[in-house]
Amino acid sequence: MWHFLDGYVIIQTEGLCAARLLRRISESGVRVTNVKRTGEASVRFSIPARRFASLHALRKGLPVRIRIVKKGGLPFLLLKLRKRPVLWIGTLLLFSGMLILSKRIWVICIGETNSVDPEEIRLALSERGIRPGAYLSGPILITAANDLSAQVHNAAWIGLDREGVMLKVNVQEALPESAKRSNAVPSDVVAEKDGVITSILVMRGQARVKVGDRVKKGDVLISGHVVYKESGYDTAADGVVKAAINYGVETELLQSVTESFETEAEETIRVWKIAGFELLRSRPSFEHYRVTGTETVSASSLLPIVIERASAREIGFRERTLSDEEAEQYSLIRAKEQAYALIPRDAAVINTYGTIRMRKGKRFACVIVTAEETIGKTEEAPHDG
Amino acid sequence: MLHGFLRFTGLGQDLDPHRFYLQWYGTDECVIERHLGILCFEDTRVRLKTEQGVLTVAGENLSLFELTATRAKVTGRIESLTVEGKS
Repeated sequence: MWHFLDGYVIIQTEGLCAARLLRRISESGVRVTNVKRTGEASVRFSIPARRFASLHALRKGLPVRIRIVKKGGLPFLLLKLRKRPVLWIGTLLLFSGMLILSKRIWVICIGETNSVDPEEIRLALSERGIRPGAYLSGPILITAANDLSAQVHNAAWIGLDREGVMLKVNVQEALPESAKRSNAVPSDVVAEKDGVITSILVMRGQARVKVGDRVKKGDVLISGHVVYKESGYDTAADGVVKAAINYGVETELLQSVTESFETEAEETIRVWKIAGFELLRSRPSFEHYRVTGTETVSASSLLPIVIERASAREIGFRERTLSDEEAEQYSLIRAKEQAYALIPRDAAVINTYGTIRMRKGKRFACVIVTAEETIGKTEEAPHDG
Repeated sequence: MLHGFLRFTGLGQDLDPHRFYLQWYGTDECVIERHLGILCFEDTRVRLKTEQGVLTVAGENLSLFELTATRAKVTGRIESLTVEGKS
């Protein structure tokens, strides 16, 4: 490092007294480095550039010829640059520009939301001066995040997180306000589906079923008409009733399946990423493909831009006839998937049963999935008389 | 092989300012402190004058990574270090 900053010259000597010259140089206080023999009578070494002038006096009386092979280090580099002002001014401007630009926001990335409109967030940010190209500091972001949380509809909380030149907007959506029913309107909790009661929790009203009862759609589970000590009153029934419900699917056995396979075709694709997010991707000439062997081609040390190269292998599809055993397995899996698709998201699967049945000379895969789910639905109680 | 090394480095004794001092790192680098000048520099041999005699570093592809009035750093494939002369 110091060698480079100080500047150095690489010298080649021709003659038989190289060792004596080296001794004289080292004894005069000059640090000689990288001494190598390059031929029978030639030696190459490096000394500080500013000590080169003293070399001629030191070689007096010795049958040695001296030749400069290379000049290197910062002083020589600066000398070169002085002759090319456009180059260093351009470089300086480029780095200054990058430094200035890297302190600003260029990409605003809003997280996935269902009920919050991203445009509303973008507009609210813009009103506070937060737009691509804006210079931001920590306190501004904190204030803006607090304001945004209060201003944007359906947002419970908004966080602004700066990552380099990108601003990430994290949105926590507010829970939808549940429809509240007035206690003044008498109502019952009725069954939405057929099933077997597994649990019942009464908040208001009177239970009409117990755990283990089989109920049909429309049956009253919690009544809004409460009978107490031979008298009664009407209220809005409320509670949570869970039941085990069967979901059955029956499908004819598959004869063949479509399978994917990799063809021989392969092409190279490129992916441009900014701060880890995919910006652009070149497409191969085939429609279906699998990406393998991703490697970074170039990455900027100042900007969060990365170019990746990957290999795209074409995927083809072909029909395959199934054996009896395979047909049963595939068909049961497919029937199970179809049955699971019928189950509501908040339901819990209790049991799954699958079998192969013969009917009218054909074989069918039958799957029954039992799930526990909430079946209570509030309905206005019928008027008496 | 290393000949005369322990005798002249003065291991286990107070450092004598006139004795040369040797640090040997494996077979590819050695540093000689307090030498009195270089006598010969070849691919296979580097000879340095010391208070205790002539120190010869023998090996293959030898080069002097650094040479000052009192310090020499020899690199390459070092096979032996010998000291001849005064004892």
